Amino acid sequence: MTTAPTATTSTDGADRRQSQDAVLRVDDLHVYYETAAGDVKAVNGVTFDLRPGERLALVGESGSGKSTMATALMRMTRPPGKIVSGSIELGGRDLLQLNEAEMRRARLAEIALVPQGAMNSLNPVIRIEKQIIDGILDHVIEESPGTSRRSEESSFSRADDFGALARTPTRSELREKVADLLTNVGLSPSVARMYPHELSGGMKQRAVLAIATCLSPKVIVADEPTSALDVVVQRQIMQTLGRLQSGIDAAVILVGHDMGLVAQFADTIGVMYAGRLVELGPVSQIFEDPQHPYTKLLIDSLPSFSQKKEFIGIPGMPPRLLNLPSGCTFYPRCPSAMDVCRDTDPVNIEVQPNWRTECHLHTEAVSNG
Amino acid sequence: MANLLELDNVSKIFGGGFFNRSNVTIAVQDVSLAIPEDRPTITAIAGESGSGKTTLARLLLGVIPPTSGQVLYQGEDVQKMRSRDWLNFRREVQPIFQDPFEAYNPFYTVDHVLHRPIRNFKLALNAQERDQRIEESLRMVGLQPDETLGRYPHQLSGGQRQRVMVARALLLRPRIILADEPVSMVDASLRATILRSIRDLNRDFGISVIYITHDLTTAYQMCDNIIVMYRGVVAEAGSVEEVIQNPKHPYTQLLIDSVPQPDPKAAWGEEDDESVDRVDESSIVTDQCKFAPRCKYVMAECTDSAPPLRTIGPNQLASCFLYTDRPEVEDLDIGQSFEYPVIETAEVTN
Repeated sequence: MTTAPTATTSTDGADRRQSQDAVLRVDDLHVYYETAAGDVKAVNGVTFDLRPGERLALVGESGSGKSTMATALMRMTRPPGKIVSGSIELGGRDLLQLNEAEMRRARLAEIALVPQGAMNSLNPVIRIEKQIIDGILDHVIEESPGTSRRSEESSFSRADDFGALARTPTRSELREKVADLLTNVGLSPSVARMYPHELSGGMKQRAVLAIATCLSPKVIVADEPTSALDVVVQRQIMQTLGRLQSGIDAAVILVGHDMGLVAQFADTIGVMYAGRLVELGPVSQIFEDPQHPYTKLLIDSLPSFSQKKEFIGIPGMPPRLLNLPSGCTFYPRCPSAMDVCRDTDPVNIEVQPNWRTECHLHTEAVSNG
Repeated sequence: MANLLELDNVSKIFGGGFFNRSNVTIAVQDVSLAIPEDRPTITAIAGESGSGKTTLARLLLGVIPPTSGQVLYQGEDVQKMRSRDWLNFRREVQPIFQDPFEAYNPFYTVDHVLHRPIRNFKLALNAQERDQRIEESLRMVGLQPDETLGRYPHQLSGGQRQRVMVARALLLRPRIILADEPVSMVDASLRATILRSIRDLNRDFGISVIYITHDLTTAYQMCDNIIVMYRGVVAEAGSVEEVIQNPKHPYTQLLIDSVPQPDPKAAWGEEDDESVDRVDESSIVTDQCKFAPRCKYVMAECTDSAPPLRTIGPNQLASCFLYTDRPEVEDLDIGQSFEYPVIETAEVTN
């Protein structure tokens, strides 16, 4: 499992050396929504590392904090939401410490978002071509008059570490780039001159993928990229995303709740519950032998074609994120709940290298063994 | 053997009009199906968006008239019913809609949606009998009446709201429940609970269910029969075992191949030629196989005429020119012509 991440806890600095090559390192991230009734802890201490080219899927029920994670990674959390503490290191730099101008350049060039309902995120009155070019031109640093144009450099090479472009690409370079991008995502270059309403849902989603990959980001955050699409189109889009991702060697964070999609697409799965990553590890092993009772219930509740069985749901409801009680947040719904779960927080345990879970079942095993 | 609900060569065409004959959408084309009266069944109507499945649901509910053909309830044309029969039809065929958030008026407590049908259909003589009936229905779908009644819709979770909708349908003692994508808006973990409560209605109270969905895995888990629609026509129909495990129509094969299986070892099929988005909708004429532009087995005859439904096996029909050696289905009643396998599943308790 070379592609699996190494999870580290904030207190556990010694683990760091293992993950020197991580492209993205999220450490003890807290994102709260500040309401009159108190802080809603949507992301409550999430830690994980992402290697170049890795495909991580964040799954969970609605309200588990997975979409909040996606917006926080882009530093696009809006009030009343607030990134309270933690760090998001991308290529060795903490995104949370950048100023707004630097962050603006890092978006798209370093870390790009494929938003939820991406089909509706295109501007209906602007041609596809211009919507792609806008993102590219926004990364050109204003040249002071008198400096010679560094025309010997490739037009899309980077001027600095924040993703600024070396110089303004010429019109024909841009046109060529747009045609390349569209061909890459499986669209005809003639789509460049079209408006979004002339495209089907799948084609719009492909256009969004073209925008997200236009500056070859290191990380692509895809928030339920296919939730409104038919299965046939869904498969094509996911396979296109996979092809693009390996082409530019970007890591992908897929946020979603469709475990089938996760099984087919991801290398690593992170299961979120009440704002925490309760299990993180390699997909194939977790599907075979889930360590956290919640992961097990999630997998058991999935219908498949292989055998007809009784529908098994997960009893109870996710907890309210306002004033979370002490102890394990899954305790009231857990089939294997014990006394210790009621008031002691479970700690993050490494079950195997690159496979972590937060559950007292494993705390017991460690202390007994 | 009488049929409870029957579609007899029903077509529905939208648009057009007297001066603009060219700009029409054929939402449903020559569909026949039957829900038998003598045994409760669960039938899935599956297809992608644009396949006509929601139009079919609205035709079955009698809320839109067919352009041609008839919708029959107990042998009587739904569009020509007298008011008493129409009221009876409206009581015995109950819909459950996709979005449990929009089905409520946020200004009323959930009691409102439960009181209303009782008043409209005069199902209870007094308030006590009414409350008793409501509580009974809520318990049948696994809700606690004291935790549900008196609350506003926003105080309930999506799954609870959808189950109140199932309870509402159940209040009326319907003979058919027509569920249009009942779980597409709720979380995967709640999906199982809602589908189980719908399936229990079929098993325990003998209510037939028409389950309209794009999700073939839940259709397979829940249903006896399945009808796969493509652009308004029936591509394939039969028992779920046959159709899902051994699909014959290239469209059904493509659909099943595209479903992401929750098993990392059951790998997805290879990326296909991405033809879907390239299909120009206006180029599809009525008198050809509608799937021909996307079909990898496309032959000359596919664009000459529309393929009729043929009997592939005892419990399977498909409309495809690959099977011209099989007999054409005559006097078609999809659903009527299958033997219904009764599926016994072991009861699993949580």
